[in-house]
Amino acid sequence: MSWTEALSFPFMRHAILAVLFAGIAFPMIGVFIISLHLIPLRFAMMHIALLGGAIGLFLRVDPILSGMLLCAFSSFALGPISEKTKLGVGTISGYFMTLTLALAFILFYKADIHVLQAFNILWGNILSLTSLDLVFVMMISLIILSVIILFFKEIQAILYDREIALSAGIPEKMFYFLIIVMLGLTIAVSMRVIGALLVDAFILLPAMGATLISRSLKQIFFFSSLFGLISGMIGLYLSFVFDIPTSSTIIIVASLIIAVCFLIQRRLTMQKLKSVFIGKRTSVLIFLIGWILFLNFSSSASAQEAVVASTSLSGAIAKAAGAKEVRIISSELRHPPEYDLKPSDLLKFEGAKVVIYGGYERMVSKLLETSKNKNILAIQIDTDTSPENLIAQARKISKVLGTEKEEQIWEKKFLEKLKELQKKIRPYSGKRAIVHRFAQPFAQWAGLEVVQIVSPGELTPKVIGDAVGRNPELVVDIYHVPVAQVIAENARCKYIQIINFPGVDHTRSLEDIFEYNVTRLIKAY
Amino acid sequence: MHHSIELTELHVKLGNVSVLQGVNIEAKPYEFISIIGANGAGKTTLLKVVNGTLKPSEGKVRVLGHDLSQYRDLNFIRKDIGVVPQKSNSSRFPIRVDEAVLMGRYGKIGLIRKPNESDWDKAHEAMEAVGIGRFAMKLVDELSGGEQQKVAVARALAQEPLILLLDEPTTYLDSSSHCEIMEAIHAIHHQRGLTTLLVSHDSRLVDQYSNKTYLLEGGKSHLIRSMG
Repeated sequence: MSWTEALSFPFMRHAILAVLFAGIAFPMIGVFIISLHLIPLRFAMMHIALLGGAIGLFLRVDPILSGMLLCAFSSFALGPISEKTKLGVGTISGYFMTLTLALAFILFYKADIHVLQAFNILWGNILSLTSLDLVFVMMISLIILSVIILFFKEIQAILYDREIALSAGIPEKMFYFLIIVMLGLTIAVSMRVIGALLVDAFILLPAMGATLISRSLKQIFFFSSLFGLISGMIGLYLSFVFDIPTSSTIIIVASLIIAVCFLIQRRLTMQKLKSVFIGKRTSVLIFLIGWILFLNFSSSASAQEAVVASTSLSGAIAKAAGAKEVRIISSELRHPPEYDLKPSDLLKFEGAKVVIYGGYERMVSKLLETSKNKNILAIQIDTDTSPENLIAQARKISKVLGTEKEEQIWEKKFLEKLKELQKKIRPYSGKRAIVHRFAQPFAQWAGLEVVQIVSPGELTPKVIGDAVGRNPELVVDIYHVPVAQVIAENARCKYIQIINFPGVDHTRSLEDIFEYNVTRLIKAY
Repeated sequence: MHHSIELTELHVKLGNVSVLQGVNIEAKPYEFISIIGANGAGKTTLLKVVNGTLKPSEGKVRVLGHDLSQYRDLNFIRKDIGVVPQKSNSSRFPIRVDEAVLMGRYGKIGLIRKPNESDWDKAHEAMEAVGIGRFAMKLVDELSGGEQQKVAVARALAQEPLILLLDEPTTYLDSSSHCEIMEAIHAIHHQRGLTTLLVSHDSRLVDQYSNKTYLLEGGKSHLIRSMG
């Protein structure tokens, strides 16, 4: 698929528009962060958004809205609080950051919310922007640009020296608070809309580069916007051409721009730079390579029977159900918010018949919204890994795909495999085990005596004490979110980590998951 | 004629520490007042009170006939007070000399409005007055310490103030730059008919320019020299 064809996809158009607005306006906020030493505020806002999300999940209201509202409220409060307490905004931000993180974790624990679920809701990706997300980006960008254009001289004086601005008769406090509010809102919106990784790429990196080469504040604002726009557009284009993660590519381009700025600052003349980077031969070569890649980029096959699976587990269930072509989005075992989408991930939706997801991967609903393929059928499945449930889910999918026969064949093989594995672990059944909540289906299938279940998230002293007091012989933890090793160490018992998602050690199918977990259990003894 | 600055039984607390405990200072129009005291005597605090950036815990502050305790927003008074801080250049971004001086006019220009030709003229006049006109297009960072201090004085002058507050303006300078700056300030004080309040840690450096000298010690003020 060519770049021009790609523009027919809503996700690509949304991404380009977001880069256009955020690329120009957000780096200006980076100039404030650098000039007023407000980096801790950026971290504080991220954690305040997390607490807002936790409150939303706890009260069963929209966590995105509650996250944004709390960020907006905090950014209004942070300035006056720092003035009243005579502590700087940086110090107050540190206080808010730790406090909100602690409160969020208590809420997660009390409401039994998985931390990953909360992060997943709050952290977005530039390739999965909805129209509403785009409106947020445009609105905040226009606010930033208008404030800077209208009040440039006041902002210049405040960034120069707050005391001088005050003594010149400028309402310095009002403008300083306005800057903090804009900063808070920008970070909240950009984290939600373009992802945590890109917050720095769009906000800080271009401003850093601009500060290195500029000779006035106007130039700093101009170059930071220019660098933001260039790194955003080139990063987006390269990520499309080479099919590599978009946010990371944008960051690499922005970092390269900083390196060039550093060279310029080191008095390397433009003449020398030209000879290095845009010498005649090199530029022709770069142009040719770019053009060839531009023309030849191809998307994955678009067979009508293709199934898109959100994770390796839902992919394995789809395979079990008889799906012939399964396209997995997040095939690796990774913290979902850290999964940086590639353009090809979005193209996996095109021409597919069905998408299978577990419900906790919010990216799927966003991807569906931005996809051009409106005929795709979304099937939500229960991803509990007990054999009974896996079979039930495979049957459910096979009915939609019309592959009941293939599913029956798999079911038979699967049950035989489980029977064989169960024989192997018979000597270990009845072992007193402390089990991670996500490992519970396996523990029950393996016949372990579950004496206590531990939830994901930070363990309390009471939970650890209780668990150790039950004299377990074994602790069964989960590979992708382990929490219980401390119990095994204190109880001096065996410890294993099992998997629910295939991918580790070349595991692919549902049978592989059981085989891997059984092997772990046997090896422990 | 009312006093330009009148501080009566002024007490200031910073946290739990009483920095000023009964300061009485008067400055008539066109007077050059020096306040001397050791480091930590509360000299900078005193200037902040006059400028309205710090509220006293007790006592009366009258500046240009206004009782400052009566106002919530003191920006209107700050526009008539030029301040030259101890450290002249704390900018975190590069700025041209003429732009840095023009900043003194920003409060008077008002919000949203852009500086007009007359504002630029006043900035250039201020630069000429302190002898840095030829550096107008240079970056402040490229100037020497003494020249940077002159930029700070020019900025305060561009504001067209009635009162000039100087916080140890020559602390970081060598003796020749010190004399040069002080001579320039003294000349401008007379030419523009300003009321000038200068704080310093050494009376020998400022006595020759002052009409009155106060000593700040133990939180109290003592008039130690008056030229009548």
